[in-house]
Amino acid sequence: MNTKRICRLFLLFAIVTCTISSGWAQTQEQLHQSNPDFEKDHIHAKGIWPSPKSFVDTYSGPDVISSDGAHFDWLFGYVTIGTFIYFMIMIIGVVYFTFAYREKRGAKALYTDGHKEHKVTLFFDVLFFLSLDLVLIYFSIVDTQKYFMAPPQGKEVIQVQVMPQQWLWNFRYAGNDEQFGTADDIVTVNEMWIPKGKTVSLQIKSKDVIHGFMVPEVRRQMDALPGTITRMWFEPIKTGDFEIACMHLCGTAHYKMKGFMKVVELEDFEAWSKEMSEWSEARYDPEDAATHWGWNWVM
Amino acid sequence: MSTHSSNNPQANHDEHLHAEPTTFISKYLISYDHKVIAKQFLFYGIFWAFIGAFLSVLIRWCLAFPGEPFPVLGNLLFPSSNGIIPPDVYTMLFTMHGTIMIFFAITPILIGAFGNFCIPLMIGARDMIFPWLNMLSFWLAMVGGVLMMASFFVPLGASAVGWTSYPTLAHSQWSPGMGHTLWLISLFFMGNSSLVGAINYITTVIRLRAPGMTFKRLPLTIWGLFLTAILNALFLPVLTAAFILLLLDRTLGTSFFLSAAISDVGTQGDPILYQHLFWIFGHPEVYIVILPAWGIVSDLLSFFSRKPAFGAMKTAYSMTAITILSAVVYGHHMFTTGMSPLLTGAFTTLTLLISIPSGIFFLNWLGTIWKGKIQLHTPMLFSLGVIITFGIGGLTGLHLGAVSTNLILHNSYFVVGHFHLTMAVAALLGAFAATYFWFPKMFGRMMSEKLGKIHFWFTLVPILYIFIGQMVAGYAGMHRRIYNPYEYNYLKPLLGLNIYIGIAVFTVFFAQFLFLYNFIKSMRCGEIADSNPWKVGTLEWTTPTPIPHHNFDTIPVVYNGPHEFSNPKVTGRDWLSQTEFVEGVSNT
Amino acid sequence: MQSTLKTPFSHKAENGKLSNAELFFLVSLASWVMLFGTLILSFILARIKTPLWPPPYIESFPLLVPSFSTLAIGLSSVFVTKGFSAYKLNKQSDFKFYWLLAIVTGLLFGTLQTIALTKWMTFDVREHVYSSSVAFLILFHGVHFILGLSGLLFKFFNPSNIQSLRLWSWFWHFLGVVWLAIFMAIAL
Ligand code: HEA
Ligand code: HEA
Ligand code: CUA
Ligand SMILES: [Cu+2]
Repeated sequence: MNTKRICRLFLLFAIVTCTISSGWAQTQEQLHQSNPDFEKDHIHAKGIWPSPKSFVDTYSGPDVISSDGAHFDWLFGYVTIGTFIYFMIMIIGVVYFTFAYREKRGAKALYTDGHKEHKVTLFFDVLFFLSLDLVLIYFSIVDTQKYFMAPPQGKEVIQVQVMPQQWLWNFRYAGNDEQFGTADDIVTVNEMWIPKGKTVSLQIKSKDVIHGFMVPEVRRQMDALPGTITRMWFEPIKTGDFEIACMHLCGTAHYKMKGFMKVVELEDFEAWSKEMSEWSEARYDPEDAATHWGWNWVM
Repeated sequence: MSTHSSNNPQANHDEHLHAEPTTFISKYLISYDHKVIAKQFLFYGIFWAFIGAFLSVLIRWCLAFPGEPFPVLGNLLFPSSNGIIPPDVYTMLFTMHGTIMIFFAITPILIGAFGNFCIPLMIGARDMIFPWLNMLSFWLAMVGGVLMMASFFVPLGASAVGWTSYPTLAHSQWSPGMGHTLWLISLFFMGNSSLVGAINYITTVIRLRAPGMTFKRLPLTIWGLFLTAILNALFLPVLTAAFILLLLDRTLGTSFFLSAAISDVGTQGDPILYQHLFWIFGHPEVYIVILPAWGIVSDLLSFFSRKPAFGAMKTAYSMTAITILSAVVYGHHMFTTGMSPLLTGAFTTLTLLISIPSGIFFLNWLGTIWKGKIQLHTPMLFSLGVIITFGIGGLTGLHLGAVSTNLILHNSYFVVGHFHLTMAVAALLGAFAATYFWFPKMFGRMMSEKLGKIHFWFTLVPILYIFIGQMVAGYAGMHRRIYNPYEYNYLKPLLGLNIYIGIAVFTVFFAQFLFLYNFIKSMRCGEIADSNPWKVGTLEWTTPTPIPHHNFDTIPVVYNGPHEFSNPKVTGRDWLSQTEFVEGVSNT
Repeated sequence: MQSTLKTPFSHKAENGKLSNAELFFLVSLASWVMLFGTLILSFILARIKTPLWPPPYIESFPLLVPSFSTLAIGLSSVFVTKGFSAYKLNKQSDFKFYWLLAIVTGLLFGTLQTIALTKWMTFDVREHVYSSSVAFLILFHGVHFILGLSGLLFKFFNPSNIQSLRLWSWFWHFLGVVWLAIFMAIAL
């Protein structure tokens, strides 16, 4: 078989497989979507050529629910658009140079070494650095001061201890006496209740391997380490049910180590908290080692 | 010739005048000849690349068609689950895919094969300075390969903790079985193989340069390989140390990386310590992978634009700057471990500083093709592909480098997209460019241009779709290392995207067989190549094809830089060999 | 054309420049420094992070015997230097004398280390990262030490090649420095 025939055969093969598999993929996708397990209300992905609106809805990440999440989205957008514009300029350059200076079109090469054109590259490099990197560095440092530096203190803050283990999430609230490690601590599994409009402060420690706490809508994540307490805090500004994802590979069932975060109105939260705390105190069982995992709230 | 380090330039080289081996074993198996070892590494790397690529096909199958049996081979591979890939196997799949691709495919190809092939030939030496170490390097890699292969077949399966092998998941309590132990031992061998090679490369480049081959006249390929070797020599031992400690934890029950809170005895180890050690190595490692590709591409762009590499020395110096900076930025992989705010600020700044030298050589690449005389041969196409993919991959590094955005993107497919575009695509396309370019010298025959071009388009287009798609998925919230993303409601809309990515992956995978066919066929019955088919001036093209056992009968004397193209003072042709003396152009 | 495969060590250093073998050795030394550096750094980090070091329920590593072994390996380094300069001046018997002294003091170091370790390791050293890392550092150094000592012994009987004599003596000094670093990390 000669090379020419191989090429033709391959092209044919590629076109046929692409066509067949696209068609097949469409049907597969529809099959999946008609599956009752799938939530009906989620946005329908239109595959390769979605309308701009559905594209943005689908791929811009879940809606932000934390007070500062929009800032991080903005920063991400800024860098993305900036890099996109610069990149497009450069790629247009590459494509233009490639085609304009082809040997076939009789181009003659310019002997360049040691010319003053180096300033051009330096100029663009500095421009990119100032407009992209410097903004990122600036905001990283400012954000660190503003959002990540000192955990919020005070009575207003909702304190939750989080202890993931293979493969579930344990949560602990101080309860009515506002002390951790007492009989009226609220202990929940895979469900975290928090009130809207209050700062929530988490202390996270893992029971076994490393896990990662993230609610995508909050736009922030923190590792859960065995033996070390890590901290994370945010202020939810929307009510609703959200999924907590485990971000860090933690074994076979990592993919379904999912928790729920319920953001409710403050009154509802207080009612829930009071009731749960009383309930816990009433059922307190000193023998039940599994629920005695908390630690003192460390500043 | 005052530039050469020895008073008697020939002395260092005569040592390598060995009689040509005659038996099959001494010629092809335990060969000391750098050209043969290069081929051994090339075949080794291609073999593993196909395995790694097949694993990635399985990965994408899971994500595109969750719960469906894998077609054709499914029942053979996963008989107990009727051809469906089970979740525990999925964890093994991406662990082994990452490990194999990095340590067994791309490193042997770029550094093992092209490092071995190019360094002596391009600096004008008869062989590596320590041929015996060179052979040792390959056979250590072979042992590592056998062990890694064996780990697939042990009870409980291969390693399943991610290529980063973070404790405490990597401890025997949470990942029992021989799989991960074998993984550690195998990488111990691979590490030492690269280390031995690196020490050899460094000494060779310092000592065996032909008279007149100053660092300024060194081809950028060699610059890249040399800097890679330095990083390897310095940072592989760090990995080795981390792996020894982890191995002790796993086998003897020590607790270097286990913390008091969770182990039975009252120990005080620290799993974060491992992360520090791993990334002190791990970040230089990513530049280890890409530096040779940068060097190769910088050279090839100049060769096929028939124009001197734009700011060649600035490219070399910025690669050096990156090499130095790479040692101090590793913390950007650990922003989410509750690092102190002072450190996150420092690491953000240092990380983003890397984009300045990267930008310099990147823009130099554009400068090289600007006003050139561009010949779109296959190696050139692949080099242009590297510009595009490395551009995207590198620029998305900015999002990850800043701590504010990193806290959203860490451990998401955005990271996966980023590192595939840099490591898997840019470095891999660089390796393809190198293969197409040096094939005529290695095997004495040309590869088919036509198949090469089809291979290029069928690799570049789907691969851009795959990895840009992954970044989109990542920003939409899809996190990495998950078997079935659709467990999460907010990821359900991504099914469509994942299906199309899957199809693109199957296309690239099949396109690689085109490469394989071209490679094997051309080796046997390609068009016979003359000794300088691309008309370039670096030293390897001054040798006859096939290359004699001793490379150079007399050690060449170098008068020119590697990129003397279209020099107006040279008449009759547009290139000048590094060994030709032309009045007014060359100097001694 | 020669048909034998010569080892690189055959090269003579020319007018004060490093020979190939020496250059090779220096590059490998950089790797070795990184290897031991990493291990010692991990030890120091663990030490900084742990509030009680050594923990009260773990026997702390005795420091008296290792102080003597430090002295021994330091002396050994001195003897190696003396022996090497004697060799360069072509004083064969002086060389043999100093080299033998170096080996003996080296052996003394090994013995003292073994005594210190065995006397101390009466409990399960895996119990705490303090004890396991001390034991590991000493044993890991010990493995390299055995290598170095065999090199010295070998050179005692075959001192013909000055090149490899020099490299082994460098390696020996390196082992001394590494031990000093380990000892300081443990003791200070
Ligand atoms: C070859 C491999 C390679 C290369 C070259 C790079 C290059 C870079 N990488 Fe990447 N990276 C990886 C491989 C690579 N990376 C891998 C494997 C991982 C993940 C490992 C894992 O977790 O499994 C990773 C992860 C990773 C992270 C951690 C993400 C996380 O897990 O949270 C970060 C964060 O800072 C990062 C940043 C960067 C930066 C800033 C560069 C820079 O070097 C990029 C510089 C290049 C450019 C900027 C583009 C070119 C320049 C211009 C177009 C013009 C000028 C532009 C400016 C001046 C802005 N990388
Ligand atoms: C160099 C490294 C490299 C390469 C080439 C690739 C190639 C590919 N990878 Fe890889 N990947 C990694 C390194 C690499 N990957 C790493 C480090 C991880 C992280 C693992 C972890 O999380 O622990 C990862 C993880 C990873 C994931 C995430 C899994 C998860 O988190 O759940 C996915 C998912 O799609 C994926 C897909 C692919 C695909 C589709 C390709 C395709 O590009 C493959 C298609 C094949 C080719 C393009 C050609 C292969 C080459 C040849 C056959 C011959 C070559 C010969 C010469 C050059 C001469 N990879
Ligand atoms: Cu818990 Cu992943
Ligand atoms: Cu990095």
